[in-house]
Amino acid sequence: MWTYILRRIFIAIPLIIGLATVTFFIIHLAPGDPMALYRNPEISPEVMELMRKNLGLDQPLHIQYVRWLTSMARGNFGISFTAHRPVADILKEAIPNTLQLTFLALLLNLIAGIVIGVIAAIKQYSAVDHTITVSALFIYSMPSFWLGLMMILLFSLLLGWLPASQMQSINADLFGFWHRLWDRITHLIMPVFVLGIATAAGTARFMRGSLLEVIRQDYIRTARAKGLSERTVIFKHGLRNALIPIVTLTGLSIPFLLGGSVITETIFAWPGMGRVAVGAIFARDYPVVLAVNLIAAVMVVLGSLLADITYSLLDPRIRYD
Amino acid sequence: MRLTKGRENSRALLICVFLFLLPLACGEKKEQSADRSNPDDRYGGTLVVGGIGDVDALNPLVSSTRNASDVEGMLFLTLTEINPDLDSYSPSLAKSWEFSEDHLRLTFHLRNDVTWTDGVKTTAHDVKFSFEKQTDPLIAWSAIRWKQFIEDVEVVDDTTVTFVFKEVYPYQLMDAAVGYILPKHLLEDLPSEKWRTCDFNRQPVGNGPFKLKKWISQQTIELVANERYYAGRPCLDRIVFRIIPDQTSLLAQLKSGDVDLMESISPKDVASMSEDFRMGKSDVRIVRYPSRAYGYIGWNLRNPLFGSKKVRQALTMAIDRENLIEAVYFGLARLCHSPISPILWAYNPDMPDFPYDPRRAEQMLAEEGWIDRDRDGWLDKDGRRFEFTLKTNQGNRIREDITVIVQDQLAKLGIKVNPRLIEWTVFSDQTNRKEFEAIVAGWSVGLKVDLTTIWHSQSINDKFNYVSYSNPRVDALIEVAKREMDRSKAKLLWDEAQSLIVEDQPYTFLYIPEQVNGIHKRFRNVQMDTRGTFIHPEQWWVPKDERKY
Repeated sequence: MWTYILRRIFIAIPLIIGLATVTFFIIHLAPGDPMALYRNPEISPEVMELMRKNLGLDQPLHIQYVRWLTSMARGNFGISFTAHRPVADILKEAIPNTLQLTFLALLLNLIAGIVIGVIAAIKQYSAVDHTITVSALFIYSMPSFWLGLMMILLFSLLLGWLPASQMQSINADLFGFWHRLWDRITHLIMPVFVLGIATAAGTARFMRGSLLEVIRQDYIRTARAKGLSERTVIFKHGLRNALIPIVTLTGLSIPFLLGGSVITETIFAWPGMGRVAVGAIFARDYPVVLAVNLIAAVMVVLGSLLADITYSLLDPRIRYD
Repeated sequence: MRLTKGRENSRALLICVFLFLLPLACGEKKEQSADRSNPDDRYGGTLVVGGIGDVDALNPLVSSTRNASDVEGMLFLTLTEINPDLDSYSPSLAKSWEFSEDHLRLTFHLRNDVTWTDGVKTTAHDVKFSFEKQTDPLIAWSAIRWKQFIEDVEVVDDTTVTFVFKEVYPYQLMDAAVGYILPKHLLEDLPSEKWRTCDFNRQPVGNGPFKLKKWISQQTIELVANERYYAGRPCLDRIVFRIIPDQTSLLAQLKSGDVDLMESISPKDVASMSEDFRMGKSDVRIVRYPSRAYGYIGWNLRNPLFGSKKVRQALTMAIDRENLIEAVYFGLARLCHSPISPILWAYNPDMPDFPYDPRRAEQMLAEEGWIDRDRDGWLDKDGRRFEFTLKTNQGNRIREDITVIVQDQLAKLGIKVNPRLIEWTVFSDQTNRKEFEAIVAGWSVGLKVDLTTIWHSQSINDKFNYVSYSNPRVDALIEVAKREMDRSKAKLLWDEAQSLIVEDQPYTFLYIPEQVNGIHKRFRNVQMDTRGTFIHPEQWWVPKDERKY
């Protein structure tokens, strides 16, 4: 097993370097100029040139690439063009914020998705199943920016129950621990719901299909024939096997955990990775774009590795030697 | 079951919170008479400002965003302050100033009661140091050009400092006064190449009415009253900037009262918000004033299609600009006629006019040889159809709408316009490289009257004369006018330069928008005008009974 994991990690290194290189050249060769933000009649072209030089953008592309690669190898992500500070500092701030949001959303996605999917599968073709199917499709089709804005209008503007945006209230620093925790929870409710519910609808559909396929298998028939209770048949024999595709889905969601969600983060002013990434792309903030991409690449590789390892835990027939 | 119960609990809790907040919310709506002479009323309260973008740095020599300059204006002082007439100055860090007889030396007498927030006095040495850093090419301050005619800054004593100029020209005082003064004792040892990334940028020490308490990136910047401020502590306890990147969400929070101040409200929302305020349905007061921006269609004069002055004039006359502005700005903009803004003294109100007259436009185009010879519905000349691409930056709704309206209006004359929306950085890059036929764009003008960077032929290759406009007479007028000390003579020169540019129509000048901000009515003594949103925020106050935080 350990040999397998080490082999996978070893293979991933050239893959990640390759991905980072491709990203480097794509972003640099894409039209657009990082200096566009500074263009103003009050700023003289000489100053623009100096700023370009300060950012190292006056160098030929291959030199910029080598410089970037060597600094990356030393663990230095560089300095953001727009925030004038180390990219690592920006990521250090954004990653925990994003993790809070995406981890809870993933939890909501899995719990709600699996529970609803199982209910729909057990009650196949019943009114409950039809209601769940239609609602899931309805929720899945709703654009998250619309759902987010509607929730803000309803729960913040009209009812005043929940804060509309950001991670904490203005005076949160003055609150005691429990008050602060509650404050954070109220700020999390809407973004977590918006981010988690649509994917939960998808997971539920997936879970339903997977479980229906499993309960038609011979071993389920055997379990029932042995006289096991329906609960044991479904949860012990059925669910464990039906969860394998969900594990793949979850494995593939790992990059999303760190990547954040641009739309939800923007609407709820949640200061996470999604906003950092998109802001950097639009501003052509190359160091930030490259760092975010590198992290995403690493997470994709790690996510699929994690999924493969979990398979072996769920399915005793799968062994990696 | 447990899940359901949990939900019920949280719902009950939410209702409790709601009921708890209800009296507070109702209390807020009460109109109270308030008097600032009452000490209880004078000090306290928090202003929450909502903005869509974060600040890049709080060091005036490094930052480049508008949000940053809003905050910096509260943290640092300049030598003088510009007055509402945008032409004269009031004392600030300098209590008085005078020119030498030859007008080459300008001496400022500084206040001796101004201190940095760390307790050290602000002196003439800080002024000299700031000038040295402002002109340091390695730091590359964005307004470095303003200091180009200043030869040196001499410290006479702790409270007296003299600016020595290379030549005499009308804007010497403005050039000397522009830029915030920075603390020498904290920054003198910092190498120039480290300025963009130094700690000071996130932990500034200033001498203005407020000081930075906390800055959480992408979330909040919190300023608190500076107790050491020379004019006495500000009325407000705190000013909190909250970053809410989505405009719709930000507006919802302004309406809900989570945010007290929002800049640049979309024109389409203004009428209903003003009406709601008038009817007492909303607490958000709308504040409107002329902005420093103008919008235009720029014709690339290197393109043979726009080579003729008559064709450009005809294009302007073929566009119903009055209706276009009404359609996109809902009456919150006025027609623009000139490259010099009407807010400035040099604006010329009597200039050649090209009002909407499609028939005359058609006639002028025919005189230039543009006729629909092949009866395909589009004008043509020498086998070429009158067709061009009109570019603008994606995401600017107003400009996007303009390209479509212009397409429709010019199509009526047989001119085919292909609107193209391009992401901002790409649009800016293409404009800079002159890779366009026509653009819908805008400028935000400075307070100094100078047409050099946009209209002088020397600015074609490396500055902002994107449309490659060249008129030797205009060049000559600019050169003389910007050095003319006699205001009445300078006015005549600028008048002529504006008339010539307008006659040539390298731009179809479109609109001058109003700046529209919304602020909660509980804030008193609020000043906002063309100079900016935050004019003397230290004098803004909120009656005790109406305070929210």
